[in-house]
Amino acid sequence: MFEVLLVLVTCSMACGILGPFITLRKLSMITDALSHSVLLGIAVAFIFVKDLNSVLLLIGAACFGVLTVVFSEFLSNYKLVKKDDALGLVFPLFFSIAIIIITKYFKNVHLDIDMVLMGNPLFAPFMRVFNLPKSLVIMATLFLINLSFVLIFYKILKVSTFDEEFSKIQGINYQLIFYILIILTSITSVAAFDSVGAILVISFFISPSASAYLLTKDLKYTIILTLIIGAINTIIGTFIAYKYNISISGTISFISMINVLIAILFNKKGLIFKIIQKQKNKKQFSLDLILIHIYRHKEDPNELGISTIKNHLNWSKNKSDLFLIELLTKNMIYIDKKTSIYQLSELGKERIKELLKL
Amino acid sequence: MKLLLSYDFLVVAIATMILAGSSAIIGCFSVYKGQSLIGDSIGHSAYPGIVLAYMITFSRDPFYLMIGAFIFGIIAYAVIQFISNNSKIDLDASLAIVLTGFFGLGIMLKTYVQGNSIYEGAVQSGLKTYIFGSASYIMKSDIYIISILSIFVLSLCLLFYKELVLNIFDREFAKSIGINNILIDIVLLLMMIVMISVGLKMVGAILISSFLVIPCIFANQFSKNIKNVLFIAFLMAIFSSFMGVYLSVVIKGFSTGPSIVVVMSFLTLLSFIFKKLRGKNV
Repeated sequence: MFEVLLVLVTCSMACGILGPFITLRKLSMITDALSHSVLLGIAVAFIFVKDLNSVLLLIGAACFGVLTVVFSEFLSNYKLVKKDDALGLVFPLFFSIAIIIITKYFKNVHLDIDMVLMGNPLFAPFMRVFNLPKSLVIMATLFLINLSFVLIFYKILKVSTFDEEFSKIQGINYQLIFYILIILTSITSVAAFDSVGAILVISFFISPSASAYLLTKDLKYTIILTLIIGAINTIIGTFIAYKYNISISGTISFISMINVLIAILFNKKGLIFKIIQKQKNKKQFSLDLILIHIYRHKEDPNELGISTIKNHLNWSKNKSDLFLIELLTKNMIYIDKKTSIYQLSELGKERIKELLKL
Repeated sequence: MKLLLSYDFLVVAIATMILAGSSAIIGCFSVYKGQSLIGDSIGHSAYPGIVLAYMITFSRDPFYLMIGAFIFGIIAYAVIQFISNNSKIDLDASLAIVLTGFFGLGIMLKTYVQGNSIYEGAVQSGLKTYIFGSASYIMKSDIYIISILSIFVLSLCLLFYKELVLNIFDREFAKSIGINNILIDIVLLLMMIVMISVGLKMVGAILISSFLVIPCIFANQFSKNIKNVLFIAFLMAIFSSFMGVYLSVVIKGFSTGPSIVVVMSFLTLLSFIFKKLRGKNV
């Protein structure tokens, strides 16, 4: 099990290092398209080499990955279709042809369509090189390649990700960087296929980087966090899958989505925080309202009387009691025993000065 | 010719043609609203609904499974909206997140069913067909469901035709003459999810979105008039599904869904060439 986990974590890191750039460039659905259409590359290459372990399969897949992107860019550049629609046309076509080829010609080969979608990480340790699982070696190599790509071109990648126009003015070859990114993405997803399947590959690319992007603004930290979050998701998912004896890839994808939802709810500017802030503001507003009420109606026994004030604020007894007690404990107001009305204390008066800018 | 009149062929062909025709109409509206990739995401996300419906009912009755898919389609859409409205994550990324998360859940549930002794008695072999679709499993009861829902959806389209068109092309004007845009949005979305849930069994979770998108792209090459586009898309979808089913019957090993998609895409590529040639002549 340890080796399976190791393979998965390495996969998540190899994908995760490119993830932030893909997410930020709004290429997320392209990975979806890629991960389906590279199947055609695998199928076509397999016709020629008849060997599932050949490197040519990787190359074939990468070619079709790039072809998908080039083809859909071509269609949208010629204004034949919109960009999204172009993707929606190209990848189903490639995927369909691939399914037809596979179901028709390779009935008895390991290249099962179910396998391609969901993979089976449990088989990963059976294929070995240098006494290590083969997929571990491949994914680790890809991780290093992707890492060095990001490190070497970090500045250019950063500029071209956030400011396409500026990078063009600077003479950065935007298209070249874009296509290198696409090629690396295709190769990585194909290599990851065998052990984790197409769906988890998309998840590895997008979900951890989306979570990381919510938690930090700095691109460097986003990348580092993506790697950490990807690894955590993978470990949690694998343990749950082992415990209940269910699909590892499916569980990790699901956990990754949950992780994003949690990040949305609990990050510093997240939904929960916003709701709490709103409640706080509402409460502060009510407290200030009482202070101003008392200030405006100085010593009016009717407006400020202990039992009558709630009518003049037009609040329920519970609500006014709640806020009045809060103000009393904060020493902002006090009860005048003789006339039994509320009065502003020194602290309350200071707050009034602040509020009304006196 | 003998083949064309055989019962099996007719059942499958009629069902796919009805499905493709009505999906094409709904698809046109969705594409014009810029929701073409949402269909793909919802198509994948409806899968856990099917497995869950099976787990609850212990039956593979297509009607229950469809309801499951429908409910999960709506949940998936809600989550997509939740993510893109409440965070800085783009719609694009939230589509991918929901797609993988929900499909992953579906696979989790499916493997749970496979490994669980409670479900040993019940027949479960059909669950896999919902991923890639399998028109050869279509039965008469499926045709009834498809026809009823398609007619329902198409008549909704006819009934609200003016509202739909205005809502898509000129929201402000639609609002000013008292059309409830939000209601129309919801109706359109529900229709799309209905078509996806109905189509899952035949074309599968992965390719269902192309039934929505491709006919519209094809029709767009020939006309800019919405009525013509709808009509051309409808005809093209029906023709392609007939051809696709025919191919899959004639050539052994061709799956139906992919064959239809290949025919559709092929026609669309031809339409691009047609448009370029015509453009040069004018």
